[in-house]
Amino acid sequence: MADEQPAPDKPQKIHRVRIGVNVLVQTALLLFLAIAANYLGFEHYKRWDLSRDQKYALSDKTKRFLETIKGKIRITVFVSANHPIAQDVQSLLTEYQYAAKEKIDIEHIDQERT
Amino acid sequence: MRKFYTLLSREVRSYFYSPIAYVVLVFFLFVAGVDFYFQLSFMNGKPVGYSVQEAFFNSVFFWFAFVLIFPLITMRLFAEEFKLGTIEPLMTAPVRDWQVVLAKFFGALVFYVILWLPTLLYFWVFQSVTHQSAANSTGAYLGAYLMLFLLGMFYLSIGCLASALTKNQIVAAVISFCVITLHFFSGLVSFILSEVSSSTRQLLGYFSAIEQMGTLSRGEIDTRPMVLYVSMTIVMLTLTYQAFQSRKWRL
Repeated sequence: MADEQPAPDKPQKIHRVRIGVNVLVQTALLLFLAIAANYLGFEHYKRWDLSRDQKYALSDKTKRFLETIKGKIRITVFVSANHPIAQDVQSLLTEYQYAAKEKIDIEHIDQERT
Repeated sequence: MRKFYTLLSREVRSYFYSPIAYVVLVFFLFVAGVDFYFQLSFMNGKPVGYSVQEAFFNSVFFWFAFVLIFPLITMRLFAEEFKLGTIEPLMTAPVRDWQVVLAKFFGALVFYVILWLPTLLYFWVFQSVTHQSAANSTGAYLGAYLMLFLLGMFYLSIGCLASALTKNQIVAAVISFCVITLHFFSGLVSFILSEVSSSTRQLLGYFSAIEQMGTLSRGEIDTRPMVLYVSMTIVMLTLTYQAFQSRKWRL
């Protein structure tokens, strides 16, 4: 035996706490990024209407009108939920709400139930 | 990158070697077929204002089967390897951890896409038999399948996270089932409120999968679900990666 084996290195310590804190910070930052991206996406979005007869699309005139109104609009709906047209009314009103962005409130009153 | 493709092809092939893939395929396509049949019979009865394709993608039957397949597809992804002990060769092989995680996720995504392809047949059959279009426009198909893809991506990533957290497949399936169902049914809140202000409507609609499916299957493509689901999938996959890698350093 010419050489002595050098003394084996001590096993490396795993800095668990440090790694754990690092992971937590990374996760928190990632969540913050995701929320920020979603917030931006919520404010600035695009909608394309690809349906052929544009059934639920609002006309340009309506959209321009909705942009010019100041103050809020409150729409009270008196259609009962069983009526066949109720679904279409709801979809159209949803379109109005998306186009008006903050200005339209909707209230449903069902005469058959109250 | 080649290692990633190797891992990915290994994942996809291992799906088709296990019986659960075939069970899920048969079960899901059977339920989807029955759903399609029910929708068509209902539409035969009286005229309705929506298209066949909208009816198919927005029915209760469909949603029920849809939510159930995710735990089944993803429960074995990580949990099986933990239990069988094949995780050690995988972690010590010269592949990066993120490659492993992403390969498993994309393997599940490929399987999910394969699962959905036969449903295109339904609409094609309908069109060739009745010579009428099943949807209002081709844009509606794009919207509906895009929504399926986005939602599927998000739910699969939740399933991956659940699977990476435990050694037991059943526990992983239960966790992912609970989380996915909770998320999905929280989207129903916007339908049961009778008085809704516009800001509440916007906020609730943002998170509601059912409502997003309704608008997208009508052909109105919106960028907000894309942003939401892609970002949430990235968050879930990063959490999965952290959970996966934590085995190296946690107690």
